[in-house]
Amino acid sequence: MTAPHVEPTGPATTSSRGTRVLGLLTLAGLALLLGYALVWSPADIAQQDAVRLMYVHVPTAILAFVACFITTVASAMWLWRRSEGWWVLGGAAAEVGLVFTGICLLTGSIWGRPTWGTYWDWDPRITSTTLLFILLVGYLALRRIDNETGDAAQRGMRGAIVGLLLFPNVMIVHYSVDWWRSLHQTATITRLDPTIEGTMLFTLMLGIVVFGLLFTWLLVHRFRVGWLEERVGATGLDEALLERRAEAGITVPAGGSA
Amino acid sequence: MIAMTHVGYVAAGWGIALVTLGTYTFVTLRRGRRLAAQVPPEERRWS
Repeated sequence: MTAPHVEPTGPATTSSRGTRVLGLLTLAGLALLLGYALVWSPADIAQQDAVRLMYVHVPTAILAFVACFITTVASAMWLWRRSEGWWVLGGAAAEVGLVFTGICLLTGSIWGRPTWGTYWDWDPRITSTTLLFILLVGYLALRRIDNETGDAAQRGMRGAIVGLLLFPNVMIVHYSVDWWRSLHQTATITRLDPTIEGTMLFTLMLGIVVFGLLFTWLLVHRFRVGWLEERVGATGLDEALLERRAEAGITVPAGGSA
Repeated sequence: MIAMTHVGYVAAGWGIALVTLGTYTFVTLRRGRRLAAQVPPEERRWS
């Protein structure tokens, strides 16, 4: 039986009161962050004003890692519970994570030119982050590939197994600067005695909070988009079944189920 | 006014980040709007 098409009465969007409040907070935070990152925070003695790239590069890197963690947890939960919510969350976090990883790579490359003298090097941190980016692309591609039988469970299984690999790869990215010789600096803020302080440390923390708000806002919207895609996909399947039955001359009584 | 060093790098880095995030936000909201119009309101638990 197919559900009759109902004209939506409310606003047909992925917004809610919560996301609107979060969106306004994010915009205000971004304005404040731009003030601190580009104007009020001091230049670094060694890097001069190139250090201002840190306030976008480091937060996006951290949130890319958070996204991978969410996808790995969602994949594990999908393998355990097989619920649609975990499947949708895994895909949403991976897509937002891909955007943040891409920005992290690009801003890191731009920052590398004035500080290291090169846009790119086969450095362990840069190379492992690029592999993470490729892994995210592969994960998202795998989720979209239908197998020959159209078996959703098999498609989900393949996606979830790749999803499980994301966070272990993040650990390789994180520890790569300790395990191998690297151009990239070691941990700056995750150690007990951070190597930056004052307004620079405040601006970096503000960047993490503001980009965190933006990440959360995007994740909620992207989750709802994924949820809607599943609903539309299910409706499309029902319609296709009806068409096939009509072609075969099988009639379904009005109000009855097939 | 104090002159900033590395202006081009700073502008490129921040510019790429903000334009990418802005574009992704726009695309995500537009996808949501298109899909939400095809789904009955009772399926949109948040609205």
